[in-house]
Amino acid sequence: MSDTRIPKFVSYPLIALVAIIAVWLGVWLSLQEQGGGIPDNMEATVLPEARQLQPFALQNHHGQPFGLAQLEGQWSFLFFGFTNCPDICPATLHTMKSVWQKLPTEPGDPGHPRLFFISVDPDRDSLDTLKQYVTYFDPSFIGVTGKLDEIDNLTGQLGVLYGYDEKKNDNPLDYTVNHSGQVLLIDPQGRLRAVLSPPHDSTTMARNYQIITDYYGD
Amino acid sequence: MLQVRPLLMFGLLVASLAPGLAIAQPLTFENAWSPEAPPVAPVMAGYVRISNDGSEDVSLTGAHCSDFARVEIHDMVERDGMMRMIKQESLTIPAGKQVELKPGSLHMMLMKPRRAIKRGETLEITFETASGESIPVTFEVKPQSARDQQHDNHQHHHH
Repeated sequence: MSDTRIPKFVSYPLIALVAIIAVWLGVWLSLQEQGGGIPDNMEATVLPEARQLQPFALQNHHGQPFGLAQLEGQWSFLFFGFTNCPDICPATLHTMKSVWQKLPTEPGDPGHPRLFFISVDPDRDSLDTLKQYVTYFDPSFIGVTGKLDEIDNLTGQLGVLYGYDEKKNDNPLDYTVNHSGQVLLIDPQGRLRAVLSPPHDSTTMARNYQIITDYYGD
Repeated sequence: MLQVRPLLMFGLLVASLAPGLAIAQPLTFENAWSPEAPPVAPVMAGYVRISNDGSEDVSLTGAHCSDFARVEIHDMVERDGMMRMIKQESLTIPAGKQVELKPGSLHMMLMKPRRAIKRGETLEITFETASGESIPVTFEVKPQSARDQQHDNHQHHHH
């Protein structure tokens, strides 16, 4: 027992001081650690560690390749839907347009995010249809689609779900698509950084976007 | 002959009242509107607040509009992490209650527009009830930004 006794020269105030310094150092180090912490006071779900996406191969509405490289260099919002969607898809695209209006930057400015509307219904949504559809909401929006296995490749990585209702025999193009309503935020390194869940509100989204980008940088 | 005359009079009286009874159906349709869609969009939505001031439930069994190939009432439910559109074969407006078709919830699905439909125009949508009545309702086509006002109004009601 006597071996474990605190030596005489170590006073209790000193122990307390060391403890305070240790706690302070710990907090300071955790704040310094890149990607470790997450900003608080947010509606969005910020991933504790950004998830690096693996390569995928889709096309944008200009017919150009859309893959990881197109997500790098700026923040991007991704939303998965389809044009035969009367309610959620137009509402979300309109909300994103309102988000653009609430950000201090203009589309095309450095630091302004991109919005990619990715159709999970390539049988009915041609690239040209998508182009006319998304640019109606904002000329800077970009429509994307591709082969189903490549769509699955991306949705699988992002945890986005979609599925078709049973297709009717009399009209094979008459079916509904069920889909996740989340908007995903990808950082300029092509990593999933945050998930924004419906119901979407433009003021909340713009505020969350600014907190996240201020926190992690461009 | 003297017996027939009052009967005939009664018959005429009932016949003259019948159209009046049909008009006095208990549903009121308010704030009927449709967000303008991209010209290429194969579907549009319709929203409306339906009140039943009567003492009996009323079921809407269908709707049609000459500007669309098909009109359906859908509900939007979130299940298994997905938004699902569920077609409603009928929509019951309970006696003394209100049912609101609004964004992110119950809505009209207006399918395959037969013409370009622009903001400022109106759509005549006719609802059919289970008792065989037809109720024409005028929907106003508004810009997508009208969603924000709807949203604000909605919030305002709750304050």
